[in-house]
Amino acid sequence: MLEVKNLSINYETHEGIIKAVSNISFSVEKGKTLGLAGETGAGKTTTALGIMRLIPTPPGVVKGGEVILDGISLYSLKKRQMRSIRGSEVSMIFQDPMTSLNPVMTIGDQISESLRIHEKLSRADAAKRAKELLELVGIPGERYSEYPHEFSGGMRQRVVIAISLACNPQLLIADEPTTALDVTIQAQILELMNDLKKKLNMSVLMITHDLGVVAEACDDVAIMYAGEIVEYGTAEQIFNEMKHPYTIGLFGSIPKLDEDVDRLTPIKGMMPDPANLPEGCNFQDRCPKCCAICKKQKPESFDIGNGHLVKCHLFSKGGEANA
Amino acid sequence: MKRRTTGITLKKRSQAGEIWRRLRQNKASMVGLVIIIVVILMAVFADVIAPYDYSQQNLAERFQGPSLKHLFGTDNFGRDIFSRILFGARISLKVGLISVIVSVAIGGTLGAIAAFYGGRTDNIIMRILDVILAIPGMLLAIAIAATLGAGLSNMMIAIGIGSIPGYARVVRASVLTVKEQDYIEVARSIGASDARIILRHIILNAMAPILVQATLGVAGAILSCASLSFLGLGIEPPTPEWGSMLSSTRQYISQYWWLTAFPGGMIMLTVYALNVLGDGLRDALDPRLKD
Repeated sequence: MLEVKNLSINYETHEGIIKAVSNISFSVEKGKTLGLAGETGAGKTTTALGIMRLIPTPPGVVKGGEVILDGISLYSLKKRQMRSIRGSEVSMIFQDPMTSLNPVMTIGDQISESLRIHEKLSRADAAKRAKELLELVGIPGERYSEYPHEFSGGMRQRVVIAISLACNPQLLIADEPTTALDVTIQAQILELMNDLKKKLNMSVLMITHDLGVVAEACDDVAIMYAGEIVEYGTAEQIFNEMKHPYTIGLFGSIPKLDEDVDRLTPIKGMMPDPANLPEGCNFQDRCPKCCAICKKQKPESFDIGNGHLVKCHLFSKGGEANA
Repeated sequence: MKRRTTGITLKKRSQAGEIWRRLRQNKASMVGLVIIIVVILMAVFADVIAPYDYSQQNLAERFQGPSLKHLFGTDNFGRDIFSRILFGARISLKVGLISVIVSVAIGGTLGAIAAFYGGRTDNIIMRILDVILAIPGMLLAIAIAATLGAGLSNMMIAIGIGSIPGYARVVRASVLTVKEQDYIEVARSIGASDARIILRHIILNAMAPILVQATLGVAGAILSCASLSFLGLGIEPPTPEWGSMLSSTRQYISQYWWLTAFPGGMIMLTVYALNVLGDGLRDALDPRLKD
């Protein structure tokens, strides 16, 4: 349904070229959810913006790769064609519901806007459909003419979801949709998204740094680190058979419900400066299994069976894991 | 800031309602508002209220002080000053409002385009406007009025042009902030065109500073209008304009105070009212960003 092939995005600034996303490839199948997980700064949001062609082009440059949505190569489209796809075939939910809504427009108008742009509905028809959408996301339809400041954070996020679903897109990109909300609301929103996904047979690209959310909501997972996808597979593969040292480190640092520990085990070190990426593997300074080749050569994505991909020299033909 | 008037009910607290409520609490602004409303009524109903025609001369009745027959007295040509003030209100308000509206429209559009597109467009537009800004406002207005000749519309152009860069800057600053907001990105993500984003999302949110600037601008325009007429540019006699009324009766200021006091007083009152209203608006609009 969505195929991203070798996408690379840089930001060219005075301080240097920032390699936000380097050569990533993944796909999202119809009706499935792909979780894009990683730390802050890994390049997840840039990837999302890259798919929507919303990268701000003065500093941002899409260096290469393709984004294919339902057979259409998005980067070959003209601006006007792309605009007609945004909102109707693919939509995005942003992170902070408190600032995602225009304070001087009623929420009903904001939901209707998408309908009026893409389906050319009249005001009255759009209003009717907007009320239906509100009901769909669990907000009484009468609240159509209220303003964003009259809603709480969780409800605003529901409104944002309603806006993004207005034209029944095939793909929904959710950029950390629950990060700004508290845990109980988080559960509600995830449940809502799951319901809607099933009802509308939608594909979802769920961007998050919360592995709990990944476990809860995702069918497939891609782990991102410093602009690259270091491990990719189904949720079962990643959670039960994790292979990349970074993934292992990530899961190792999560506190466990059934274990009593004095200290948590973080991954030592920090993510490399994207303007100054090292030669060789990006994870070399923090990797417990780093060896000579890691410092010189960037690893490829190796398929270790059933579509489970790992970007690590350990899994190359002559690597340790295969030795 | 909200512009639509969906009414103020107990349940729907629209933004305009909030702003009005806050403005109401400012006593000075309310006084200003009342004065402006009175002036507007004077202008609108001048035909009905004025006891005499504004150009009707009666040399036998020159220099009569304020009385029941002539509320504000008569001038050096025997014309009723009260009637002239009423019709003068029309002109002052017309010039003030129209020149500001046109300036805001042109300046605002330029500022919004410059801010929205940035880069070279921004540079070109703002540097051209800087050229206009470099010339002192009054001098520019005088030069333009002198070139274009007498007349109401020429005066509006003369006054209007000088204030375009000011409004452009205000709008540009406002738009620069607003366009970075998340909801603008959301609008882009649903496929809204640039035009739609500017017109439906950016303009309303960027309006607040312009509103204050424009209110004060009307005051400034009225003053400029009076100044230009005082200097003999713009309005031609016998059209009553408060400023020209001042200049033509300047020499009688010590003998017949009412000739200059009333037009001068009207200018002062109107400009004062607009200023306090503008200040009150600025305060009322400011703390709204609590949500």
